[in-house]
Amino acid sequence: MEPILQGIGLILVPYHFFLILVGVLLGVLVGALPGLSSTMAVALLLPFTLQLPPIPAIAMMAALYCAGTFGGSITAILINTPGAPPAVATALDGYPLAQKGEAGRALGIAAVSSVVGGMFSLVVFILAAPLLAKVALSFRPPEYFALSLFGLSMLASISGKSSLRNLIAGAFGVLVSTIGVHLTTGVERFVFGVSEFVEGISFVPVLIGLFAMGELLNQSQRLNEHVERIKSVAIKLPSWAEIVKLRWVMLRSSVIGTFIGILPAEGSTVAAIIGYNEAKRWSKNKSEFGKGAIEGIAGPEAANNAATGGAMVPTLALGIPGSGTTAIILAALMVHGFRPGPYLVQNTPHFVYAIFTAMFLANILFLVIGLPGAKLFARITLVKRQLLWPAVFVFSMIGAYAYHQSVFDVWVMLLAGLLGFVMLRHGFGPAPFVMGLILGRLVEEFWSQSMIIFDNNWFRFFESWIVDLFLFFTLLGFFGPLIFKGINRMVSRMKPEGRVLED
Amino acid sequence: MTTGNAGSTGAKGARRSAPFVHRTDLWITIIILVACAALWFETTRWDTVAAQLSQNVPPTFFPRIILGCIMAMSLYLPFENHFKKKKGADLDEERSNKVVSITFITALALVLIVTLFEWLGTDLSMVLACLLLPILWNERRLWVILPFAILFPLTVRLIFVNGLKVHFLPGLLAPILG
Repeated sequence: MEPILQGIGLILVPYHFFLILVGVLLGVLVGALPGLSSTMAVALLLPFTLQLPPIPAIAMMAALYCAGTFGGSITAILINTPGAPPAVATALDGYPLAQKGEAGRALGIAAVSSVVGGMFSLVVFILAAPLLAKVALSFRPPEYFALSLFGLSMLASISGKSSLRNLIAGAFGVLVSTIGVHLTTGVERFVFGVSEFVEGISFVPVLIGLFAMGELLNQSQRLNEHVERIKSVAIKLPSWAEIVKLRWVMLRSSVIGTFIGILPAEGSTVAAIIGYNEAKRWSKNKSEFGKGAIEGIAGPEAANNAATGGAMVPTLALGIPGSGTTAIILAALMVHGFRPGPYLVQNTPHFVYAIFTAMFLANILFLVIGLPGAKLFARITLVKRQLLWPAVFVFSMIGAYAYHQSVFDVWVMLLAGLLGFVMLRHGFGPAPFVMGLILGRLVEEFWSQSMIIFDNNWFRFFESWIVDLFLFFTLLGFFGPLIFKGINRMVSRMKPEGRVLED
Repeated sequence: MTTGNAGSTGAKGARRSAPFVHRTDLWITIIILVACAALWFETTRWDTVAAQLSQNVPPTFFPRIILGCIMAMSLYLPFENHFKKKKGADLDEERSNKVVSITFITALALVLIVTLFEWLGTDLSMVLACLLLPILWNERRLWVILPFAILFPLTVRLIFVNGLKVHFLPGLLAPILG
């Protein structure tokens, strides 16, 4: 109980509270802007937070992450343009309801459902954290190695159309992580005579370049796209009767979202889609879905916000990012001198609880700010691309420079952006690359430490049940889809009538 | 064996005519293989370390494993589109449209701004970015661009220099900024 109170105390400082408020405002604004993702915003925020103490820095990023997910639903409901991918499912019923002249009601339901989902996932984590801390006692370098390897295997299932391309992008990220001096032997690797490479490639400029510059170039192709004007909206909170009607939808979606968020590499977009499908499956008025059903708004919104809280669990407790945004938060933790993983929960529980208190607070704040300010936030879509993206470039350039006050980092940012644009065009996502970059260092470090502990005997890895379990999951992550496909084929061959139906 | 272009998208027709070898992906594979081979060669030029000192995990071990994995995985790339299209997924959706000339011009402008960054200084680089990019992107209202190009960099300067104590390169403004 003491660490929880300590964590709450750390956040309820006026200065920290103010920074969380700023994070929420930025999150809602960024979420409402199509093209500007909360991942990019967190990457751009990273250089600002380097001067801050770790707790407000990470709290601010976590608040932005939470609010960004809700912000995306504002434009999804008002102009049928999801500001962020997790709001895709919200648009399915939110926009039709807005077209019926009930945009305010739709926004109110989205906000309340988001808060319920977000709160639920945080309560689950607060209850689960002590259990994770107990497990943490069994973690040594071999277990960390297996865990990091499992994280890499999850790259295959990150969003995108091709698992293969995700894995290749992730492997390139791992390769980039090997640039610089080898810790065990002091040998310089892939330095090519460039002195700045000796210390390795910094996360910050790479993250900014991949997420912000890549999207800037992408946006340059859409200059002629029409931006829809926002109509005047009066926000309306759902009535008590509506909340009672939606209670099971919200609760079910919160459970789904939290569970999916906890699974490494499964994002809030997946959670929102499943939340929507489940809301429809359990509804008595299935025919209303797609025409403005309130369950169709509450389901995905509760699920996607629950997933943001859930995604922080593997990030903080296991050191495995659940998404692109949490990968950046993970990088920020490392930049601030923390090693995310079981020992973070065990040794600094107050820090973990402080982050979750910040997220809890962010959920309340975006309800307080989001409802009256939704109309204003929605109007930000009217900011012209011609001014918005040059501003993003300036922030990226200065953000990359400010990290080490080095022009070299600005070049790294730009090259990462150009590369990111080309990669994305050919289906190699930036998120797997970043996760590879972050996890690659850990995998090699823990591998070397384990080999020292085991006196180079590989087989001793299998002595630990935790290692065995994670290696099993790793194999499942890499080969699971192939295995399941094979099983499905065998089953379909055993059922000749199935073939007849297919024919 | 047939080959085809990246641009062949479209629902059922495209699904039927999906080439076995995707030409663009073949080129990507060749580029990846050549790059990985060059990097592998680079690993042969690193200093050798005694096995005892390296704890039997030489510095080349991990990068070579990764390079090997990348090369092995990339061999499937040229055929992936064929099998994906059979399942209804289209990997060409993003790249079916040609990159428009303004994207290349924007990329060149960004390279130019970063090249001039040290010489111009941080402040003037920001001003240049705020002037050049909107003009390139067809914004012609000077009464919008000019205040933006002055006020926005000033705000950024206030946040970073005064708030976060970051040292900005003076560049051409050195005589003024001191």
